[in-house]
Amino acid sequence: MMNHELPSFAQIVIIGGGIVGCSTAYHLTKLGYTDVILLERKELGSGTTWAAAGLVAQLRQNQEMTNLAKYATELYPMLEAETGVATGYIKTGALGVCQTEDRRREWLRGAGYASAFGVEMYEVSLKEAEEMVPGMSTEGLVSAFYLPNDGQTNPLETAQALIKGARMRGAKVFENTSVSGIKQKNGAVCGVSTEYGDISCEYVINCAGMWGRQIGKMAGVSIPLHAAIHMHAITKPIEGIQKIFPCVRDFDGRTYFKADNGAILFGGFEEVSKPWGMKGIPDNFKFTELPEDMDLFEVFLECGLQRFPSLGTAEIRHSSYCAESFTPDNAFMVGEVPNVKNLFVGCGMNSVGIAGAAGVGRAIAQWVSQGYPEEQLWPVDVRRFFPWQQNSRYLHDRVIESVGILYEQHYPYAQRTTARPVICSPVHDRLAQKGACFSMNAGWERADWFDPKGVEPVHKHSWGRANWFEFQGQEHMAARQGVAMYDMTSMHKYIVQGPDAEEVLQKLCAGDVAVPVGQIVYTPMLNERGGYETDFTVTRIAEDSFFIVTAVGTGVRDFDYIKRRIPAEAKAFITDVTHGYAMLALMGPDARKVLAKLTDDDLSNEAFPYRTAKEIDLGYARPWAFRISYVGELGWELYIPTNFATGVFDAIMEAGQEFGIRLVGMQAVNSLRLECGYRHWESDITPDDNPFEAGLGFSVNFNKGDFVGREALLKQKERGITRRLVMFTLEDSETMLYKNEPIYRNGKAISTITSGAYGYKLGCSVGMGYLKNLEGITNDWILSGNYEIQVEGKMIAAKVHLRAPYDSKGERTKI
Amino acid sequence: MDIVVLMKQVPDTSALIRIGEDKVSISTEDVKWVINHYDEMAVEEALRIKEQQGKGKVTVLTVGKETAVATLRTVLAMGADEGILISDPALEAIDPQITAKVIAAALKNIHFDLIIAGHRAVDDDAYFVPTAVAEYLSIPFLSMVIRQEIKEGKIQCVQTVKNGSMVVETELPALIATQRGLNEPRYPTMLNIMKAKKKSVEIKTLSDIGLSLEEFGPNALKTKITSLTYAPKRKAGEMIDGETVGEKATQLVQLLRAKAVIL
Amino acid sequence: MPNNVMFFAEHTDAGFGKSAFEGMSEGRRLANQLNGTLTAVVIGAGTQDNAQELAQYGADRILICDDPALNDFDADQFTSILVDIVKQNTPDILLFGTSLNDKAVATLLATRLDLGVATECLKFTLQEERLVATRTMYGGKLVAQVMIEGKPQIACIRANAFPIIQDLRITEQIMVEPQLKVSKIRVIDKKLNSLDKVVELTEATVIVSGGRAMGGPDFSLLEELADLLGGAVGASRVAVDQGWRPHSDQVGQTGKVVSPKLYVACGISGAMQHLAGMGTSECIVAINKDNQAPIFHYADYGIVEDVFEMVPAIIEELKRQGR
Repeated sequence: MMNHELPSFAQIVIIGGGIVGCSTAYHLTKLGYTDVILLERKELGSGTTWAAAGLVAQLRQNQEMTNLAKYATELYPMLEAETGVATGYIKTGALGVCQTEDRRREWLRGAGYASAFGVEMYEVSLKEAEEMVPGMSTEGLVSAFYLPNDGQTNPLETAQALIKGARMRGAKVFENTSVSGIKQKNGAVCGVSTEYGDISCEYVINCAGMWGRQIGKMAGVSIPLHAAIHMHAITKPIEGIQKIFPCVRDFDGRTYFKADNGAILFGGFEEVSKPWGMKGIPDNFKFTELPEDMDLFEVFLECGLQRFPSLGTAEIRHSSYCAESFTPDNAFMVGEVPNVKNLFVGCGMNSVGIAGAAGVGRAIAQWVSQGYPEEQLWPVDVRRFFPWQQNSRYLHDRVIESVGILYEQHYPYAQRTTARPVICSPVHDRLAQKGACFSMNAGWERADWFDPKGVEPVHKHSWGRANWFEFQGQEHMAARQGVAMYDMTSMHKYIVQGPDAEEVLQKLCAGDVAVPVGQIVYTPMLNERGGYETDFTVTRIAEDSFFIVTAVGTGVRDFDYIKRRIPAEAKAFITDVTHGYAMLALMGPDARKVLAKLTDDDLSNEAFPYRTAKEIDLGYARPWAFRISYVGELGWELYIPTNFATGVFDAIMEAGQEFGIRLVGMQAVNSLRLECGYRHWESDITPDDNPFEAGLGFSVNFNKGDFVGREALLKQKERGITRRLVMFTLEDSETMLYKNEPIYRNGKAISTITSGAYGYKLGCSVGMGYLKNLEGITNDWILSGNYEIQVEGKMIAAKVHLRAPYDSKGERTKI
Repeated sequence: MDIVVLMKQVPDTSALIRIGEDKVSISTEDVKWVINHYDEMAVEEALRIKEQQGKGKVTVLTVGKETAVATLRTVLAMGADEGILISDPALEAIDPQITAKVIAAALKNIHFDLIIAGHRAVDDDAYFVPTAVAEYLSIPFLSMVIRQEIKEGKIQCVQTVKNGSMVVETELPALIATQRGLNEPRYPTMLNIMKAKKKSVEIKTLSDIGLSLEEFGPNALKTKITSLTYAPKRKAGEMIDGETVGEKATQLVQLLRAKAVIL
Repeated sequence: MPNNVMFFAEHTDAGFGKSAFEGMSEGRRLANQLNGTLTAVVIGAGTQDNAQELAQYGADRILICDDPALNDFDADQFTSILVDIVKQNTPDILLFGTSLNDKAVATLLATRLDLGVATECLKFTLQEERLVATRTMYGGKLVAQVMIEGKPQIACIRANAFPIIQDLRITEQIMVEPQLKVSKIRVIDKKLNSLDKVVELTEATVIVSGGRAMGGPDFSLLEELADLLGGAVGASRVAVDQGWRPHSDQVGQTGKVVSPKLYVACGISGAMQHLAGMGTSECIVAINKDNQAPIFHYADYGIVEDVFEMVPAIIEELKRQGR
């Protein structure tokens, strides 16, 4: 009942009573927080939770996300005993069916890493599939895969169970209470305003689902999500259909089928979705169903009739159209919001909210309690989004595609097509003219590869060699043997300046940045556990000015991370200058010769050693030339004030003609860097990995004074490491490596490939992966093993390398 | 046996009704439309008659906006043969009286043996259209029908009345109106939903059915809504507590007496 | 010419119903405001004994059309007679009661005279001597003010919306000759209960209603309670769908719309379609074992108890207090 005696203070305020909010309350109280209140604008679950299908799938794109999803299959069945509220959870298992050979290859790979991630999944025959799901037709199917431990649950009941658990431990819930404002003081949240009064608090957690964006605006932060229509239909009971059967997922048909007591509930994820709520969510939205849409229904009807012939005569008891929130990249948004302290978010569940709520609630509770989630969750971290992504039109156009991502063909390097282009570098048109095929990353259009004849610069995906394989090879070899140029303007650049800049950065970086002007330092930035918050280059460009370059994907994260840790009294300021500088990289044994034609500056090894930077003449411009390489060759990264870029580009292209300069795209950059062992943050090194484990101990300087993570690293050094990042090359020249392929040592699965590509110079695929041995890991132990990598169900012999398989001593950059 | 069913599209019970900017009609944005339940029974009964007779046509007729096409499709998916929507900008101003006139005009050129309608629509509870249409077409009208049987050109119906039921009979063509208890409407099957895509939904304007636009418009309204407001929302009252049911009963009776709800 | 109000008072074997007196009272009030007269119209058989009763509720004239042939209600016949009466007497306002028969005549009359009609009105006001009716729409969610065009302005009242006010007058009784016609509808059989025993749901001042928790057709507990309170027994859609109670007992958007003084919902969850049927009740008491039931969000008094334990306790209490 409505009893609006709101407290005037609460330690933690959760906004939103859907399943995510309920789970967050549950987990916070489980960790011992009792002063937790949840404010729900209408009734618990009345936004999206009530209309969900309730499927709980475990397998995700990496170990940590899979653990997050798996947790739901462990928690939900236990809730009834704990709280007395039945969730309706049943372990039904799931059956994925493949209509095409490519889909089968995708799922074979999936079965491979599923096993490595601790999820049971195996291929079954079509006959077995029919036996598992009586009434299902396997006509036209190529294969099927079974996951015995997936389940389904009743969404509202599960949310009720979670909130009951929270209430039992002291949490309070106030329904019919809208939040109208979020208060801040000194860059941290300090309270919320509601129609019934204000509440001061220490933490605010935005679990407001579709309203998440509005709530975000109250705190001046960007929560880029957008609602879209999602539908499912329920039939009346059908003869021959079991009461319980494994959830059938027909990705190619874009439809899922759930057992509903003898009836079938089916819905799906269409390729082109209908965004909703462009003018905002109506004020009295509560358990509201949206108008029928036969066009949308048709997609699932057609698949349904194919997959379950008895559906033809089945009566449709109810078709439910509801609104759900989707994010630009179809992954949730969780974590502490950048720029504001103690404001957390758990929103944008992309229609997997029921399955995700358990893990998300737990992660948020950990985040609040200790400052980080127990397992790194970068794929769903809210800091991967950029402020510009709150643009309404952008979100509207993105969501048209976002919905379908879940069921699309998940090829490596799958491309996004809507809401493009957003950000283009100054030389974009020139690249296009030269036959660039562009890929989009974090809004940036980046040349992925070039078709020099400019005929068909379009990605045609494959699990094997895609249509750009040869072009990538040519670009790759140009960098190894001649001279190549690529545009990495999308790299994020910051300037940290002020009299205290050095001190601040020394504290944050594990490497020694107290270097002379013009010195480039490659350094990790570690967390208190000694794990990689990021790795980047720090270059002193003036007495109290440092130029930091980091990857495009972590632009917001890294900036926020540093900014928060600049002490209030310090005279050190960080500025994002990403759009102020274009970056062109000139790499290859002939790079010096090309540059020499454009400048009189001394480019010799003595005058301009590796890892130094200086302003030089180039053409008519004065860019910063950083002698550093991400591709393992002689070369310079040129940081050119944006408006000078086209001139510099043209000058380099002209000068490079005689050396056969080749424009190179991101695909080749990736295969080049992998071949020579350069790590990529997020794939190969994460906040849960420390420099010793990553084989990057050289980048840490223990003698320079204290830095974040120093203690933890020293302890680790004492204990010795039990994991180590190494490299693999395949013995066969055809098989492709991408990511997640299981690594076997002496016949036992040990881990998965973190990133892989084709090493054109080596003539085979090359990949990185962690080996682990709880008894301690040594070079001998590593080298003494017999290795195989499982790719699409086949075991391929592989060779392990302690150092990069190409130029292991790193000499080529220093010529 | 040609049967015409009169149908109205109404907002779903759980739909959020918002008053439109003109303050005299509702906003139709994002409204979930459904078929008026009594009309759904009418469709069901028509289908049963057709199935029993083994032949015939079921035509569903509605007056409304383009959104009604979706509801007509649902009805076609139940098994009706044809759908007709009368839609016209001049019908922006509409009331049950105008609706009945339009329906009668539309039916002038449609052959029917029987018309089935819902006795009322749950959005406006006017109870008007079936009476008026029967009158305009000069055919007998039987309301509140909970059972019907057709034999040799006559229709016999059981009607519910205030204190029981009556069995009445009249000659076809006639118009009957449905009441709860007549049948449980079937759900569309998936195959029928697919088949329905090929069935025809005709959209006709006023001039298509021989009516002149001058006779319509805001001045033609016989009942005019001059204002719409939200009904006061009932707020939750109090929960009656007590150790035993006896205690609670005592409290309740006391409260009700104090409020003079019971004497 | 004074403005005149006319009221069609439905007459049955049990005489006049409560809604006839409610309608007369409101008719009288409007006539007073217009400085006009109130005429009651009675059509039926054996009506003369009861007709005089209408004089107690403000009738200036009572027009009686009495004939054995008019014993059974027939919309066509009754409307024809009323059309003649209206044409001769030219009232400005013509009101009807709440029953289905009232609505049948009102709507047919309006059609024949090409006039407007508003049903289920819960309030009337006069604007420049023209009637403006207030009624609910969309399952009770909205309240509409309706202007009825033409003369007479025709409207049907809603049950329990108008107070019954005594106003004894000297009344003129006028007999009207019926023009009888042959009905196109033949009555074959009737299965009727005596009207005395029936408390029509839509007119009841107290309703005790049962839902899913009743578990079966045995509503005897609720009948006992209703009896003690002088009310009727209703049912939710679930109870009717299960076949426990007849359709005519259903309260809800696709059942009857009621507005009693007291509505006791026993074991009813209270979904929106039920609220649409009883939301204008003056007082709602909800008894349900589930404290999360939606009905508690709008009931005036809520009791979280098993119906089969709570209702007997209420019955006992009422008996104890001497009902």
